Amino acid sequence: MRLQLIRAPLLGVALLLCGSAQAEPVRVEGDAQVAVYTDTDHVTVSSPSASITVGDRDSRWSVGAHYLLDAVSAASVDIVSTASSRWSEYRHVGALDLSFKKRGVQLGLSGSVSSEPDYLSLTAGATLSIELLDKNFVPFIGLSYGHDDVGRTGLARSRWELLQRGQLQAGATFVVNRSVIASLQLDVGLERGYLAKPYRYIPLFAPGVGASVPAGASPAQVNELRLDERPLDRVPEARDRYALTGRIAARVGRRTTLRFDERVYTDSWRLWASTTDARVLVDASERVIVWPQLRYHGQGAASFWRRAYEVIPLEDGTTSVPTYRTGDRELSRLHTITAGLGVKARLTRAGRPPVFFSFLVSGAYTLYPDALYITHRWSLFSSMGFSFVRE
Amino acid sequence: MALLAVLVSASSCMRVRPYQRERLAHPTMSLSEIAGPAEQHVHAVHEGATGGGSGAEGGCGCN
Repeated sequence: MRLQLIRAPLLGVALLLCGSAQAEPVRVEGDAQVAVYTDTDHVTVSSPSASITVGDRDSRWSVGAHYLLDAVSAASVDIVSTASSRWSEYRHVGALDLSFKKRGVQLGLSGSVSSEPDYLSLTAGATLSIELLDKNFVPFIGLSYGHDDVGRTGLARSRWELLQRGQLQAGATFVVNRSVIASLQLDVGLERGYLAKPYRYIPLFAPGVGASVPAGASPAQVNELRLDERPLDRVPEARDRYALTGRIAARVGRRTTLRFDERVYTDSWRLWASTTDARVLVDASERVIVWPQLRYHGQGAASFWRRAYEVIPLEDGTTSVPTYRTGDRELSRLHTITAGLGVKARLTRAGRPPVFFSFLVSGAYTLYPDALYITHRWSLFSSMGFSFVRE
Repeated sequence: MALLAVLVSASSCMRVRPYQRERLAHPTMSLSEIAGPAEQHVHAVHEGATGGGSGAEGGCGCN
């Protein structure tokens, strides 16, 4: 019975797609990309990815499949300080999406799987949008649910921790005038379960000693001052996230598009953040688009963040460990500036099926004013790929 | 964000017809996420904030 319930909608989708495919010419889009990330914290990630989308010319339906592989190699200072050697691992990400549109109402369904030796993440979501006022106003709403199993190398699967994620998106896209389009989007994300970092051990200090540990203290300095006890990272098991994102794109003159994104964020861990992303996309020629880009991300610290955690003295003369403690620098106060340059070139002449080459290189500087081990990090990201459209 | 609010308010009294959308139809005038999946993942790992993506966001997988 259950199998029949699953088969029926799948058969319906297949018939719908085949029917549409017979009635209208099919449009196929594909791309293949390779990205490389490296930073001064000894982390290197190589990420080949590929995707293909099949649909009709009028966007009434489409089916997309995506795959990405992350090959991660790391020996960050946190890991070295726990006397582990360099390690590497692979993360596989696969995603499928379906989209149907009728009379201005579009329904999108998506699902993804992210798998690595010590982490499995499953996500499914749906979005609904409606074109109103001659497509000048398009409100949308989306829901997704994620189920993550968080493990640790060598730990039996039965002892892995659970993390559940629910997300609501709501917003609208507006045509402002003949040259400007904008959107406003609210994201609410609820996370429940294991949110800590299972590989991070937290150094503890005697009362009064923590304040004397400077930002950027080396592993040797920390080891000299810390107590013997080093508990695992532990954070609250619930996190409610809220983000409001505004986007605007403006066509200026005959050759330039200005794109500006702003996101303000806060959560139940009292972490606030502001992220600004600006790009200037210039038609360098009929077949080449070039864009310099600049991004700034600034955030405050989570309420329980401490650069150096001290044990808590009790009345009976013993001490206790702080309930929440973390070494995750992305929960500390930080500032990141990213600058980059992208190029997208059409390799085929007008009138022939388009094939594009794209290249992006960006460098980022992150300042951690209140963290152990490092106070800043430089990183370099580059990606290169080809894409095509066939109709 | 305030600028965006003003522009959005202005749009409520202006309706752009399909034949007036030549400039809006340029391929760079999409409001979808420009960053590719790998670049988005770098931002997700570097930044303590999430949200603003164009679809369901998968697990970070960065323990």
